[in-house]
Amino acid sequence: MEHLLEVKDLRTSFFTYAGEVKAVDGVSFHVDQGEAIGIVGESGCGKSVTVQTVMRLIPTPPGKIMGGSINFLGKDIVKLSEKEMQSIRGKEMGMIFQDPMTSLNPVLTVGLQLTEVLKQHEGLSGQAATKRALELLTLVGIPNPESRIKQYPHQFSGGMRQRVMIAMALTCSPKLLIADEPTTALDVTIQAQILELMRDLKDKINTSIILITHDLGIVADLCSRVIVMYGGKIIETGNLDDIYYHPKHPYTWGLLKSIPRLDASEKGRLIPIPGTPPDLLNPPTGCRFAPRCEHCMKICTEQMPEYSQINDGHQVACWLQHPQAPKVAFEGRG
Amino acid sequence: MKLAQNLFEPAISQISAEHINRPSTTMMQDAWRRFTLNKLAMAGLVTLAGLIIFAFIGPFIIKYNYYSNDLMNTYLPPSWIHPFGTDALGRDSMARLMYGGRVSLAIGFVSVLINLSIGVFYGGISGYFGGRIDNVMMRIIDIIYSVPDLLYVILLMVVMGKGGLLNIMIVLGIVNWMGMARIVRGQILALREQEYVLAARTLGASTARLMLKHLIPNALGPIIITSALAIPSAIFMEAFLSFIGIGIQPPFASWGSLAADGRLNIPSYPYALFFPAAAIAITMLAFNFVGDGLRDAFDPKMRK
Amino acid sequence: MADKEVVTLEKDDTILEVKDLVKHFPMGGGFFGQRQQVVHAVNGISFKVKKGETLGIVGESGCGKSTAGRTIIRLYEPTSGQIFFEGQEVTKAYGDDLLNLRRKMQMIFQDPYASLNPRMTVGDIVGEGLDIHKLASGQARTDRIYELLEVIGLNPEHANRFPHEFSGGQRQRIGIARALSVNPRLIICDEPISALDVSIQAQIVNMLEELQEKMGLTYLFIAHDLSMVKHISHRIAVMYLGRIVELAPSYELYKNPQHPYTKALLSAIPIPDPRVEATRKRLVVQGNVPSPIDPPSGCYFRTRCPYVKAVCSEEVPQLKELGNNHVAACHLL
Repeated sequence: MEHLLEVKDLRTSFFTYAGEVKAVDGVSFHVDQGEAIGIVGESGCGKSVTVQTVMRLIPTPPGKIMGGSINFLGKDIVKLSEKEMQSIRGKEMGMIFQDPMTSLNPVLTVGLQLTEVLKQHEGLSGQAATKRALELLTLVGIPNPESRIKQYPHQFSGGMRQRVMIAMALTCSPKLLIADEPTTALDVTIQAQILELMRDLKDKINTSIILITHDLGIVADLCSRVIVMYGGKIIETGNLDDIYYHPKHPYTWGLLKSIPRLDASEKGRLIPIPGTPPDLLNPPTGCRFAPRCEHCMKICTEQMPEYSQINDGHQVACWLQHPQAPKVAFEGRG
Repeated sequence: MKLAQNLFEPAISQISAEHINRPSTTMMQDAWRRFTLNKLAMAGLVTLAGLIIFAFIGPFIIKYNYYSNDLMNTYLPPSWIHPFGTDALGRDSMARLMYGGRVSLAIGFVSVLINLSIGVFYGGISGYFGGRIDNVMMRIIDIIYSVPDLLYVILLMVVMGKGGLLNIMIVLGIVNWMGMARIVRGQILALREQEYVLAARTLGASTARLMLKHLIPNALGPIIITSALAIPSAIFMEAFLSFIGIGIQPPFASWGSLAADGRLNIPSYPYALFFPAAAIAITMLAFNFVGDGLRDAFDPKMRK
Repeated sequence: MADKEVVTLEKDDTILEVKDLVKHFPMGGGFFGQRQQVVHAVNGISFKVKKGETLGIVGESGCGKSTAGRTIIRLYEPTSGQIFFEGQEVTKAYGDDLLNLRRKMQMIFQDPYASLNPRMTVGDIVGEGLDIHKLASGQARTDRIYELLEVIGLNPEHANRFPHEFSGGQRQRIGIARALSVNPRLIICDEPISALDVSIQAQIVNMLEELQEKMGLTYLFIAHDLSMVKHISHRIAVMYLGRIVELAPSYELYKNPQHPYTKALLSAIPIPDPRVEATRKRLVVQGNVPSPIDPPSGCYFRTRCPYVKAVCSEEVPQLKELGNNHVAACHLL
C-alpha cells in the first residue's frame, strides 16, 4: 500500500550572513493513512523545519530546499508551484501551530476565519458555510458555538483558541494534520483537554497526524510511531515499544534517562546528557551526537553512521550497531 | 562492510563542551558591523565627515577669512579664485560657508547634548518611578508641548538677548528635550521589568546603580538614534532663527544667516542662497541616513 | 551534655515562614469614582520552609506562584500578611535591614535570555553582588569570581565574555553563580528550567541538588512541571488562583492526592511510558481558570470541580490537617 506521505532524503538549509545552516540534512520517513506519528527532538534538531518544508512554508530567502523529494498523494511537493501548494494547504493538509495567540488573525471574527477557508476550498458560502463552521466548532468542543462564532480571537482563552485552530485545520477534512508543538504554550490541564480532543478526532475522522513535540509523555499518549531527530538528522525511528523500551541510540536512551517521571518512586538522580546541542553552522564531522556520547568511538567522529534495521520498522543510525562495534547494553526499563 | 577494527575503539570527544569558538563581540561592535553594511548610512557618515572637515579644517587651508571686506569685488559669480563667489561686502563666500558651518554644526551637536542630558535625566526618573510621579511628569511635558516650539524659541531668544552662540545652543537644548524624555521614559518603563533588572534589585542594587549600570546602557540604542535625528532638526531651527534675524548676527555667519542674506537677491545672484541652502539640505539628508542606519543597526530582532 | 541535647531538639529549624501573604495589583481605572479593578494574584498563603529542604510550589499559569516568590523576596511589596526569615519578621524591612536580607535570600530567574544584562561581562554580572555588599575587591574579587565560575562549570576565561555568547543552559548557570555570590541561605528558584531544552534541564537540576548538599542551601522551587518539582522537592505546595489548595511531602502528594484539583493535575501530566499511558484513568477537568480580577466566592476551584456541593460557594475552605504532614483545603475532606 502506498504511503500517504513519503519524504526521501530531504535537505533544507538557511543561508545566513555567517554561512549555511543545514537545518534538515537528509531526512527520510513516511506516514500512512490513519496513523499518528510523533517527531521528537530538542530545539534546533530540525523537526519544525522538516514539517514546514513539507508544507512549503519555508521563507525562500534565506531558506532553500537543497534536495530530496516529498511525495504526497502521488505528487512531489518539492516541485509544485506556490499556486498548486495553495490548493493543497488547508484542503488536503491541515496545520496547527504552537502559539495560539499569534496564529489567528486578531481583526477577523472566528466565524469569518472559518468560513474563509470553506469558501476558498470547498466553495461553500453564506448559510452553508456558517452551518459547517458551527458543526466544526461543536466538533472541537467549544460550548455555545452560535455566540462564539461571532467573537474575536482575543475573547477566547489559550485552550479555546487552540481548539479553534484545530477546527480551522479540519475544515476540509484533510488527509494529513500537522501539529507543531500544539500544546507547548498551554497549561497542563488544558493540554490534557486538547490531547483528549485530538485522540477522539483521530478515531472519528481517521486523519493521519504528524505531532511535533519535545515532550515524550505526549507522544506516548497519542502516537503509534516515533521519529527521533538530532542535529538535522533522524537518528532513530520505531514504534512505541521499540523507542520507549528498547531504544538503541544513546541519545534516545539518554533522553529517557534524563526526564523525571511522575510515577518514579525512589528519589534517584536524573542522568543528564552532558554538553549542548550542536551548532548547525559548523556541525561536527561524523555523527552529530558524538561530542556528547559516552560510547563515542573513533569512527563516530569521522564518518556519518548508516542506518541499521533492528526489526521491522525500528531503524537507528549509530555505529554501535555495526557488527564490529563492541556490544553495549542499555539497562532495561520496566 | 568490513572496516578497520581500530575505528571502533573509544574516543575522547574532541570538542570541549564549554569552549566558545567565536571571538567576543560586544553589542556595540555588532551594531557597528551592521551599520557598515548599510550603504546609505555609510554614505551619510562619509558626507558628514566631509562636511565636518570642510567646516573645521577648511578655514586653515583657505586663504580668505569671513570678515574682510573687498568692496571692489562684490557679488562675483563662482570662479577659480572664489569657488562659491563673493557676497554683498566682497567677502569670500566659501570662507563664510566654512565658518558658518562651524557655527551651525556646533550648535547642532551642543544643543542636542544639552537636550540629551535633560531628556535622559527627566525621562529616566519618570520611567523608573512610574505611578503618580510618572503621571505628573508626563502631564507637565504635555503642557509644554501644547505651545508651539517656535514660540518658545522666539520668546526665550528675546528674553536672553539675541545673538550669542551659547544662548542659541542653550535655548535650542531647552526647547527640544521633551521628545527625548518621552522616548527614554518609554524605554526605561519597558526595561524596568526585565529579569536582569529584577536580579540586580534582588541583589540589593541602589537606584543609582540600576539606572547607570543596567537601565540607561540598555536604552542607549534609541537614545543614540533620537540624538542623531535631533541634530539636523536643531541645525534647521538655528537656520530659521538666523533667517528671521534673531539668530546669529553679522559679521558672524551661520548657514541660516547666509541663506537669509542670500534671499535678498535671488533673481540676480542666486548663488548666495544656493550654497548655504544646499549645505543645510545635504547635512540634514546625511544625518537622516545615519540615523536610519543606526536604527537598523541597533534593532535587536535583526541580530543573528 | 543532656541540656545541650534538649536545646538542639527544641531549636526551630524553620528558615522561612509566610503567614497569610496577600498580593493584589491595582489595574487602571479608578478615576472618577469608579471602583478600581484589582488583580488578586496571591490570596492568603501560609507555609513554613525548613532549613536544607526544598519546598516546591506548583500550579498553572495565573496561580500566583511567581508573584508569591517575588513578593517574598520583596521585589513586590506585600499587600498584607507577614514574612519571617530565620525567626525575624522582615515583611517591612527597609534600608540596611533589607540589604542584609538580600544577602541571605536570593533568586534565580526563568528566562536565560533576559536574566543577564546584555551589556555587562559575565564576570561583572557574577561580581555585582560582591560589589554591592562590598564583600571583596581587587584581586580577592577576581579570585572569588573565578571560583564561582568554576563551581558552575565554566572557566575563568569566560569572565570577559558577554551573555549572548553563551547557550541557554550556560546562562542559567551564570544566574546561579550570581545568586551564590553573596552566600545566601535560601534561594527562590522561579521557573529556572522551563525555558531550557529537556536534556539541559537535568544538568541544571542536578547542579542545584549538588549545591544544596554541599552548601546546605534551602530552596523554594517554583515551577509548573510537576514531574520535575516532584523530583527535586521534599514537600510540594499546589496553588490555584492565589491560594494553596494542598501541601504534602512529594511522594505522598503523588500517591495520595486529596484535593480534586491536585488529582486533575496529576492525571493530566503525560508519563513517557506507553504502557502506563494506555492504562491510565484520566480525570480531565473541563473549563478554564476563573479570572483573578473577579474570582468566585468560596472555593475558587468550584467552577470546575466535579464534586462541587452547595457549601463550596459559601465558605472558603481552610487547610485541614490530614496526618503525615499533609494538608488540603477542601470541604469534602
